[in-house]
Amino acid sequence: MNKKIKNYVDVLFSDIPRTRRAAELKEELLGNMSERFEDCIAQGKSENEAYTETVAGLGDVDSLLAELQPQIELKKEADFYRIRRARVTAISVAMYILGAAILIGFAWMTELNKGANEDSIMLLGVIILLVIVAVATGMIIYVNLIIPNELKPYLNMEEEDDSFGRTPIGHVFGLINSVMWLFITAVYLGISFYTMRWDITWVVWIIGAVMHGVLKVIYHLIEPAASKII
Amino acid sequence: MLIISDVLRGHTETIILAHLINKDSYGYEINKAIQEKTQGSFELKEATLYTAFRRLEQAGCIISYWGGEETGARRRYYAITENGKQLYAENKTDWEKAKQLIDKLTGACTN
Repeated sequence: MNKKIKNYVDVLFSDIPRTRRAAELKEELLGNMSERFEDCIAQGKSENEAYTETVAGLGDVDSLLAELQPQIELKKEADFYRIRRARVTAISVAMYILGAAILIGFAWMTELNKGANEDSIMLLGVIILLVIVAVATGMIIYVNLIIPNELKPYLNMEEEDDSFGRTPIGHVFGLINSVMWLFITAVYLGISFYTMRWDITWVVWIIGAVMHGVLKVIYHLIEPAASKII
Repeated sequence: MLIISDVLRGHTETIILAHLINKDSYGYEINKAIQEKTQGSFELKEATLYTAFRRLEQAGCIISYWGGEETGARRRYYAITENGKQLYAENKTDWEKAKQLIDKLTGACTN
């Protein structure tokens, strides 16, 4: 690929927010321009002539690039959603911790009065924890779902959320990943209730995180292109 | 000459659709085909081409996908949809009608 053309396109896009849309347009532009450049060279033109012709053939890209600029209005609106999402996420995380604290509190209570039915007190604690987790998770999902699609690029959602890219293989890995986490959750709850060894069963989550990492490594090995997204 | 390129630019979308009816294609290939068809007397600026692509894509007349090139940069291919074929047919008839009208209106009086 010709360096000068790459530089030219890089400069064009230097002020453009790095959304997926911008990256795709850039890649498309660069690919087509490079091909044209190569064709000119193949026709026996000098590098300079080829470069001039290629750049001249581009025409006026201002309006095309303007579409990729965040408009002030959209930015303001995105800020509104960003602040709300931050708030809800913070509250939800606090709720998760509160749920765990309640569970520990119940465990402590069973320690204090030995006579009580330990299992049912612990069960009550777990149920409360699950209800809190359900509400908090629901809140997180909701606050993310209500964000309008056109604002998502401004909230870094597209880049952030998929460690597995948008290719067909990436989708398969994303699916495997979600199924794996569901499975791990089920295993965790299953083992924990069966053995009642809540003090040790949390290790399952660590195993889950390791499996997630392994999955990512495999994905990047299978699809080298994914690791060099602009 | 200015008028010709202005008129042609007004039909960018139809020109693109006409190319995509035969086969899926990408930006440079379409532009090259246009140049060859017109013996180099006309070419679209790439910016015009992409603007038309975006418009057509938003209108659901074409869809795009990335080709899996082994070497070099990936290409973004475009494919025509049923909507696009319909739009192409409509634009084509519109143009035929306009052409006849303009011929009539600009033709020298024969009687």
